[in-house]
Parts: sequence; structure tokens; C-alpha cells
Amino acid sequence: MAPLAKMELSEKTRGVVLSGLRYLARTQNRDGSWSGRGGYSRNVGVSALACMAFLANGSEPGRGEFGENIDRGLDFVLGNVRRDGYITAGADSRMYEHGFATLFLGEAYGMTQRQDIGEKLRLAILLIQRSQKQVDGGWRYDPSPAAESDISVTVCQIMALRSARNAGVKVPKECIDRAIAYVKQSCLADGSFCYLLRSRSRGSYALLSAGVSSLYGAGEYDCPELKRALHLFEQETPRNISRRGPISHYYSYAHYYASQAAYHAGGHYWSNYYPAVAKELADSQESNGSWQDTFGEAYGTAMACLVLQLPYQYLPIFQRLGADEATLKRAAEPPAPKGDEPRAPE
Amino acid sequence: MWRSALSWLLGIDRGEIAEGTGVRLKFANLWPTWVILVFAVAAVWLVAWLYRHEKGTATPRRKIALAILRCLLLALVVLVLFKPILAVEKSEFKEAYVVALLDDSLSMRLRDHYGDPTMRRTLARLAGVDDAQLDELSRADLVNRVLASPSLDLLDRIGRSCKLRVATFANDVRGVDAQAWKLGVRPSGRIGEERAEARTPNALVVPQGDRTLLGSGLREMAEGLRGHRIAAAIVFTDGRTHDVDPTVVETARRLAAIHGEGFPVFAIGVGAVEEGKDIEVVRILAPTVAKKDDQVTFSAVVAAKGFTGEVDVLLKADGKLVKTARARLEGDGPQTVPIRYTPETAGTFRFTVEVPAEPGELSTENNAARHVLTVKDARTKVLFVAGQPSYFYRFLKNALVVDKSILLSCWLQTADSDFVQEGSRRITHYPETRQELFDFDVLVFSDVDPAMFRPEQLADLRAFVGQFGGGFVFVAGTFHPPEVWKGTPVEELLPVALGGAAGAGDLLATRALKEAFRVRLTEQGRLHGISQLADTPEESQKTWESFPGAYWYHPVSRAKPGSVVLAEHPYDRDDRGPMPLVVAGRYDPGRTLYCGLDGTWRWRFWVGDVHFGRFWVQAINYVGSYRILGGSRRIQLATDKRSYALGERVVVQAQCLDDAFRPLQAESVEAKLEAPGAPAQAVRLLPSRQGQGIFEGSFVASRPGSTVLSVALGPEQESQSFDVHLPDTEFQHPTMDSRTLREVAEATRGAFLRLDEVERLPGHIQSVAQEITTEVQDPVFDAPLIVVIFLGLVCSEWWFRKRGMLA
Repeated sequence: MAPLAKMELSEKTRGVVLSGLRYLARTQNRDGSWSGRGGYSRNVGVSALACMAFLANGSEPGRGEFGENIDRGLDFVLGNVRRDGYITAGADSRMYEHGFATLFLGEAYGMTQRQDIGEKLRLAILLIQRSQKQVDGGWRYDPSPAAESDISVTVCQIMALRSARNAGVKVPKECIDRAIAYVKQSCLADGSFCYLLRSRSRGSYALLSAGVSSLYGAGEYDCPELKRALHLFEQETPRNISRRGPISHYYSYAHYYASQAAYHAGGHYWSNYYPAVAKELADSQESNGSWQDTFGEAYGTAMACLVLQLPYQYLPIFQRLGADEATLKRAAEPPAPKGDEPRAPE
Repeated sequence: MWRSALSWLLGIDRGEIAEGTGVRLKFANLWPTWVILVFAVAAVWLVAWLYRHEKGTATPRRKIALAILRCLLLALVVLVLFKPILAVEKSEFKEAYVVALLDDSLSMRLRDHYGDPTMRRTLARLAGVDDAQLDELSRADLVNRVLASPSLDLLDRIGRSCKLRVATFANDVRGVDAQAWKLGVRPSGRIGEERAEARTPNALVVPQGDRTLLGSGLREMAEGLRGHRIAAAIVFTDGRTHDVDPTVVETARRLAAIHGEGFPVFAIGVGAVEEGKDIEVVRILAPTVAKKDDQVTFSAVVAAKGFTGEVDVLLKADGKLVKTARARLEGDGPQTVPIRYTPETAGTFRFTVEVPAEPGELSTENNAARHVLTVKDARTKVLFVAGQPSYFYRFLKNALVVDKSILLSCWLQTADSDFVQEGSRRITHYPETRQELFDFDVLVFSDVDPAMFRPEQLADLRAFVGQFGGGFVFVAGTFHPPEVWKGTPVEELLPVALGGAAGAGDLLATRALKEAFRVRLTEQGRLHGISQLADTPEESQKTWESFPGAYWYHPVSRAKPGSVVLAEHPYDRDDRGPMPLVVAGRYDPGRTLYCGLDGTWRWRFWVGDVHFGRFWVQAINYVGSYRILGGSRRIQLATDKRSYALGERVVVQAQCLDDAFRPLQAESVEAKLEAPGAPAQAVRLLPSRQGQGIFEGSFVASRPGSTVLSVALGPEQESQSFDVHLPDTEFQHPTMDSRTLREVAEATRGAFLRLDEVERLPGHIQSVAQEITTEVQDPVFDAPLIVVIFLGLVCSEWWFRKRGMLA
């Protein structure tokens, strides 16, 4: 993890972001959700990502330009937490959505006077723990613990667990350890991450980015898997910046993780990545402030705003710790008294 | 022989007619000229008429001779009637005093650069050094060398013809052993040796006075020699005097006006005359105690006169260069040059900030300033209690946990009961006992729920700050507004009075939650150590002005008396003024801080923890400074000031506890004083009347530089450092004040000479000597000579008359 190079925030980027956030604010439904294409209308995952985009801009529940939007988004997400903790708003909503919604609750916890957020966050986290696949330690589309995992959904759950852990929610160490082990097993010899352990097929740039960011998030700064993956990430990034590149279908998803991977890696990874993606996103923004995406404008806009606002450094889940700082922190920590806390640094 | 005869004939003392004395005949009863003329004509006519009609055989020639004799006789009688007096002029210089006053004020430590080549050559010759070595000599060195120069032999030459007194002056006049100047400096010695030697008691001029009182010195010297004749005063000085009422010129005029006692002053000006360039490191602003691995900013105040350009500013620790900063100096005003340095080892270090001398600088003596820094190998133990996992909590814990100066323990109240609390020193429960609580140095409360605390825990919290000296930071939040602590010890600790003009609830529904406001630093806040977020206050101010605004704050009634408002609301105010947002206070001996904002994490925008982390680390270290840097738990050591002028009295107070933490009962406590370039000295501290284990003492700051005072009780030791600086008044104007010296000389009819013109001094003294004479008058009408002449004339007349057959 290298230091971040000094970089000026351009007024253009700020304007692009604000335009995107205002699009989201304008298009938010009265119930706090967003409309979208197909199954992505009134989707808890999309709503969570859009509200996280507001949080990343510095608005808080009830405070700031988008404070009321966040409050309504919270209403929607919290209103869709089932008794078993599963956060879903429709048949098409799966663990992806649950992961993003739980992450949002984790980030909003402690910033709102709502009394139910802590309780529902804990229910959602328990569901993630219960649905961890017994065979490999990861997660898949459905909350059942049976069957095998895929890395995409797994990274999503790891992020949610980290956020909750930051907010003082108990997350068993074993749960995190198994998840990280799964991510490491998914890393192939060339640094890429396979979608399914069974197939061992070379994964996409999106999975590579997700794998790298999850390893960083878990505090795995020196493991060989990360080194291999970063090497590949550096090679793959230039051709994946363009929306017309190989990952056009999952462009938003890929860069949601790619931005985090580059940000955590720092140094030239970040200084090469951010200006390029910022330009690409600025160029591809619609006149109404939105971004087109396979899964709808709200999803595409939320993801683009999250990518562009990563260096705003307002979302705790994206907080970056330096390598030496992390080492120091680990060195200062005594062995965990109960042996059950996660290894995540935050 | 002839003098003896002349003395006998005139009837006067022989000694009165010495060689070189002037002798004049004067008359005490001289008639008016016309009377003399009438009498002379009448006498001559009468004598002539008588001898013309005298019968006898005398020839006319004999009669004429007799008439002449008679006239002479009459003239002698008239002369006697005139009461003749012999006036002998006598020089008194031998008995008069010439006083040499030598300036030994601290400004005589200055070394000058003499630009004029002729002047340089002359001074170098007089001082017996090479031209190149001249700039290495201080003014005092130059005076010592010139006065001891055998070729010039200045004082000896003067001393042979009069009574010479040598004295030094600065704050007062001190006589110098008449022979001391002969034993002082050997001009043949090497420069380095000489400077060491010049500090010996035998050196004539050893600069030590913090003021130059030339007028007082002249007056004091005149009074000391009252009843004696003072022929002249010779003053060796740079002329930078501090006589105010009266000024030195007025004093000189008054002394000159005293009839019969006035004396000329010969002012010998020492030092460079021209206003040239000079760089001065005025002082260093830096903490006296810091923690190991903590960055320390040494703010050097550098003033440049007549110089514009870039210079290196060197930071040295115990003489070893540790950091160099480049600074551009321009204008005549002082400017601050920050030098950041991170000490990596614990101990007490004498830091020097130095600007290498520029060619042709008037003085290089003022190119460095010193500062003592004690570096402690200690980390601030912080207990961070948060009522909610707010962003403030999440970001601050991460900022603190990676900070090398802090050992963090977190206690998140809303965390799951089996949650492993975070921090670099994890705890499993909030401190139950006083011992557990007192293991920390600082407590940070952020939106804390008071329901968690038992009354005895809150009492311990008050004792933690009020007795133990721990630091307390209170950050307001919306879940548990500060008013929930009313009536508890926490309310006492806060530096603000609760119960503001508007309730928190009112604000929750106002525009303030949608429209951000930017925190505004107060004047005190701009200069306070907590809020310094850049190397200079100006840059720091810009940083504060660049911060994103906050959406919420908690209003309070007012800042408590004695507390310092560091930041305030830009437009919300009540009848007492703007609403305080960040307030630093004291709950002696501990320090406290109130922050009415929960959104300081917003300062992370784009830069992360750079400003947010720095502010809170500084705030925590500030409130914890008593515990962290106070060192000993049994000794509190304090001096009445942090900085003293040389010669000023330092008052020391030490509060000591015994092994059982009760006030120490002892007859005295010994403190150790370590001044630069001097062996350690013991300072005895005696019990104060106040009791309570307080011991007091005082001593005079006798050496410039950073000085360390320490007290040890068994294994416990406490140190305190302070700065002893040369008095500013002596160094504000480093050039010689020739104008004042010239005025003094003119007022006394003396002369002003530069030191390179000192060879002309004996000539001036000689002219003074010639002017100092007295006249001895001796009546001579009864002198043997008169009688002899009278008898001679009478006998001659008688003999002529017999020869001329006259009756």
C-alpha cells in the first residue's frame, strides 16, 4: 500500500458528481426507493448504493443537501428487513442486494436517531453469518448455506461484515477468516479470481477488482495472492477504463471495486486510475446527470458517484490505512482476548 | 645655584620657581597711570631743579648722575608703595585625575565588520592581529588589546603625567585595579586563546552589564572624586547608552557647567559606525517538552536588517546539525521560519537555530538562538468513550490508533456485549476503579450516555482531572446532548456553562442542518497550539478557511471564566457574542476541551486525516500535557517565567510529595542548575510559608542560553527548562552611536575619536594638561632684593655726594 499521490480535485469532477447526486435526488420515489429496469426497480440494493452515494458526498441522515433523501432511503431499506434479517424487496432481490443494503445500514448506524437501525443491522449481519456456505466459506445469490459460493457475492458480504464490525456489531472471527480463505482460494496463478472455485476459470476485471479490494479490506496487505492480483490489475486497468471495453455489461460494478482496489493500492495505481476513470465518467454522463447502465440509471448513477467520490474520504468503509500504519496497528494489538474478532483493520 | 639665590633675593620658596613655570611681577596697589606720570614728571623736575641749584664743586655730569640716583631711589620707594607681588604660574596636572571609563555592557560582546580598509588596517595594527582576524574580535576584545598594546602604551603614557583611575561601567561603575590592565590580555596571543583569557578576572573589559548607563557613570565618577581635580574622562564605549532622564548628553552638560569642577570627556567610539546588514535570530518558539517520535516545530523568529536574500536556517541539537530549512529574508521586520523536526531519542537537548553569517554582517553574535527541549519517551494513554458508532468515532479511532504518540483504548457504549473493543490497548470494561481510570492520561467523551456511570465513577472522573491532572475532552452529540450531564461532576469539568440560548432540539429543525457553516477561529484560537494545522499561523488560518462546513453544533450558555474560546460560530450569537464551538479550559491541575461540533470528521474531505487527525492529536496531547509531560508524579517544578534576561532573578518553586504522596517534610530540597558552558550548580530550596510540601528559592540567571533546573527525590526526577537571553536593549542597535558620543564630547569641550584614532588621544590629554595651572602670589616689597637695591642706591648717592663735595 503506497501513499496517495497529491491530486487536485477539479471543479468539473465536483460538478459532475453533484449533477449525478441531484439526478438521484430528483428521481427518488416517495417511499425512498428508485425505479429501474426489470427487477431493479424498487430494489433495496440500488437504494442502498444511491444513499451511500449521498453519504459519500458528506450528507448525513437528516443533514445536508441530501439528508432527507438518505432518511427516505433508510425508511425504505429498514422497511424491507424481514424478521429473519434478510433485506429484500422483491422476488428478484438476492444476496447482492442484501449485502449492499446491510453495508448501507452499517454506514448509517450511529448517524441517525432511528432506534431500529442497530437492531435491524444486527439481524442482517446474523443472516449473512447464517448463510455463509458451509463448503467453502463464501456466499451465493440465495441465503441458503448449502451449495457453492461465487466471489462476486462473497466480496459484497465481506464489505457488509466489515462495516458492521466498524459500528460495534459482533462478527465472529471465524466467519471472516473463512470468507478471506475463500477469496484467497479463488485467486488463480495469474492473479485473476475465478468466479466459482469448482470451475477455476479465469475471472473478469470486475472479479479481479473485487478480489483485490476485499483482500485490502481484510488487512491482507502482504499476501502473495494480493501481489499477483495487483500485478494483473495494473495490466488490465487501461483497457477497462472505457465503457466500450471488455466489461461494458458490468462496467459500474467493476469500477465500484476497481476504484477501491486502486485507492487502497495507492501510488501509481491510483494516480493512473482516477483521472482516467473520472474523465471517462464525465464524458459518459447524460445531460440529466445520470449514467446509463444495464441495471438502470439509478444504479449506474449511484455507482459512478461512489467511484468519483471515493477520494472525498467521507465514507468510513472506504477509509484507507497506510501499509506502515496498518503494520504498526497490528503490532500494537495484543492477541485478541476471546479469539473471535475479525482481522479487518477498521 | 642661581635659582636658590633668586629665591633668597625675592624672599620666596625655592620650589615655587620650578622649571617650566611662568613667573610674573604684579602690583597689589598700582596707582593710576596719570598719577604715576604726574608724579614722575614732578619728581624728575623737582630733583633736576634741586640739583641744578645745588651749591658745591660737583661737575654737571656728577650732578646728573646724582639726580638719576635720586630718581631711582624715589622710583624704588614708589615701587614699594605699589606693593609688588611675584606671581608664579604652577601646573597642577600631575595632581589631577584622569579617569578611563570602559564600557563592559553586553553590547561589547558584539563583533563588527569594518568596511573601510584604512580603518581596518589601523585597528588590526592597534590590536596586533591580521586584517582577516579583525572580524573575529569583539568590541571588548578590541579595547582590551588596544589598551594592552605595548607599542601604543596608552594608559601608561597618560598615567605617568597624572593620576590615572581605570573603571568599567555598564549598570554601575566599578573600579579596576590600577595594574590590572597590565596583567590582562596579551596581544601576542592567538585569537582563540585570547577570548578564553578575556573571560578571566584580569581582563579589563568582560561584557556583563545588561544596560549601558554612561551618564550615570560619569556622574558617579565625579561624585567619587569630589574634592579632587578631574582633568579629563576618557570613555571607551559603543555609545549605545540607556540613560533616559537625564540623557547622557544632558548629564555631560550639567557636569561641564559646574564651576571649577567641569572636565572634558574624550569619547573613544568602539564598533562599526555604518548601518550595514545584520541577521538576527531573535528567538525560538517551540515547546519545552515533547514526546519522542512527535514532530516538533521550531518557529525561529528571524530579523534581517539591510539584507534581502535566501539563507540556510540550521537546526542543531547539542551542536549537531539535524535539520536545515531554506528561508527568504526580506524587509526589516522579523519573520517566522518554521523548522520541523522529529526527535527520535529521549533526553534533554539544547537546540540551536542558527543562520550562518553573511559576508559583511555588522554582528554575528546574534545569528543564533538557543532552546532546550526535553524529549520524553511516552505515549499518551487515551480512553475514547463513544455513545454511538458515529463517523466521528470511526474516523477518530482510526486516526488515533495509528498515531505513534498515542496509546488508544476505545469503549463504544452501543457495541455488542461480546464485541472486542478496539484500540491499540484494548480494554474489556470501562474502568471500574480509580486505579484503572488513573492509568490513562486523557479521556475523550463523544456523545456519551451518562446512564452507564455510577456516581463513584463520576467522582473518580472529577478526581482524574482535578487531582491527578488528567485531560478531558468532551465532544457534543445529538444522542446525549451535554445537558444530560447537568448536576454531575462532568458539568464541573466542562470549560463551558451548559444551557445555551437555543436548545439542541430547536436547532435540529433549523436551516443549520441543511446549510453548512464554517467554523471561525478566534484570535486566541489562531495562535493556540491546538489549532495550528500548518507551519505558520497564516497557513493554518488558510487551512481552517478551506474546511467544509458543519451542519450541526450544540449551543452553550457561555465559556466559563478562565477558559479560552478557540473557535466560534460564524453568525449564530447571543447577547454575549458569537456562540463558542471549541473551548479550552482548565480544571486544575488538568486541562479540558469542549467541542460543540460532531462533524469535525468532515475536515477529512480530499485529504483524509491530515488536518482532522492533526487537530485531534494536538488537542489530546494538549489536554494530556500535564500528565504526559509533567513527568514526575511526586514533584511539580516551576519557575516564575519561561524566559529571563541575563542577570535577572529566577524564582523557583517545587511542590514535593513523599513516598506516600503526602506533602514532603524536609529542611530543604536541592535543585540542580545546568547552564550552558558552566558546571552544574546546586540551588537550595527552602520550605515555603504556604507549607503543602512547597519549597522555594531563587538565583540569578548568569549565563545566556537554555538552562535546565531539576529536582530529584529518590528515583523521581522533574526538570524544567528556561531560556536566559541577552537583554534586547543591548542589541537592538548593533552599530556604534557616534552621534551621541560626539554630543557628549562637544558638551564638555572634549573630543570624539573612533578607536582607530585613539593614537591622537595623548595629544588631547597633553593640551588639557597645559591648561591646568595655578598662580602662587608672593609679596616682594620686603624682599631682600628691595633692601639691597635701596641700600645700593643710598650708598651710591652718598658716595657721589662725598666725591662731589656736596652737602
